[in-house]
Amino acid sequence: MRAEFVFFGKRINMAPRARRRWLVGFIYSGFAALMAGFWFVDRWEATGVLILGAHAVNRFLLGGYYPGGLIKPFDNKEPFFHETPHDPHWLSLVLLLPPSPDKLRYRNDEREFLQRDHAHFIAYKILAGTLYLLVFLLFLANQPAFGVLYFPVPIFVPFGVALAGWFVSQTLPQAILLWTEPDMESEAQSPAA
Amino acid sequence: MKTDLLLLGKPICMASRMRRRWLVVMVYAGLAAMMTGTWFLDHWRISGMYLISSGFVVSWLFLGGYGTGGLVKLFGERDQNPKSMVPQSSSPTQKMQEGRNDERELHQRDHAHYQAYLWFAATTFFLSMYAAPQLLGRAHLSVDQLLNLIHGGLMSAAILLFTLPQSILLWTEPDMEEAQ
Repeated sequence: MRAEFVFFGKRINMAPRARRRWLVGFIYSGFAALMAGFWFVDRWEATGVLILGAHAVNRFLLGGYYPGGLIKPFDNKEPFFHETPHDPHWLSLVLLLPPSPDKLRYRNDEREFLQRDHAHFIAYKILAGTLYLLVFLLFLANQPAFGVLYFPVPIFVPFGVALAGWFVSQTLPQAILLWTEPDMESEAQSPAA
Repeated sequence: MKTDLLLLGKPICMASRMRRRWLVVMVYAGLAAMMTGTWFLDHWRISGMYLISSGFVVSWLFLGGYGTGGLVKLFGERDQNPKSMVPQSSSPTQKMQEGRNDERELHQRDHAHYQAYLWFAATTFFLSMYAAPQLLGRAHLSVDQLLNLIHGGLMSAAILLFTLPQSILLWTEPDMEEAQ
């Protein structure tokens, strides 16, 4: 895990756990606000695609499934060549942003691999349990035979659940890692830096 | 992972990887056949309840992991707490009796969940695509047809969720020594 990330050219120190927890809280409350806002706009009919794009927070903040952000890439692969300081991304050139030096440190050590796998185990259990419960409730709600809970499920409910499921599945392992990792040495203090 | 599968009181040796792979294939083929059959029976109206539970039943009887029976030891044993990573059982026999995972098995469990998670994330993306209400107009589906599709997809996902990590473990673990 990195102790800081570069956001639009500015380095932000995320070594204290409290800051990382704030970041996680901010991201999920932002997503909830986005879902609620788009619900009032058009019940996610056209705006649903925009919600799918919300997982771009991985690119800039969380990392894990993307080379940027706080968590190193889960797949341990080198970022695309155009994202290294030697060959910066075209957007960085247009916006006159310095390339991100954190793209160079992408390799996970053994401990980070174990943490990654364990975070996925926890995330899997949470999501599997939630989805299972939702499927069960949806099933009951749609069956007149089970009278008590029966109500006609509007078509946009499963869609909203699936959209939220997509976003959470893309961000939960990283959020668990950021939430649980104790305070780190900031990179300015670290002798390696 | 256990080498013997106890089925109706009779131990069946599953030490060879080939046998375990056959078991995985048969489990999924059986589940697919059950889904197809119950669709023709009542469009999953009542049988959906049994289908949703089938992931648990299969784990309980054959695969393990989320059930005490089956080949893979219980996933929940001795996790979360770093202290628990230190094996507490003195002898391997005692450990086997307790059905607890050692450190290597815990790592395998976590890694299998990592791999299964990638499939799960892809599934949620797929579900969110075809649960989109715009599909109604484009694919000329009625609301009922779309809801049936969504229910089928969600049920398949629920079944897969409770069987995929164990299947990955059973599929990838090399041949084991048979229990003496």
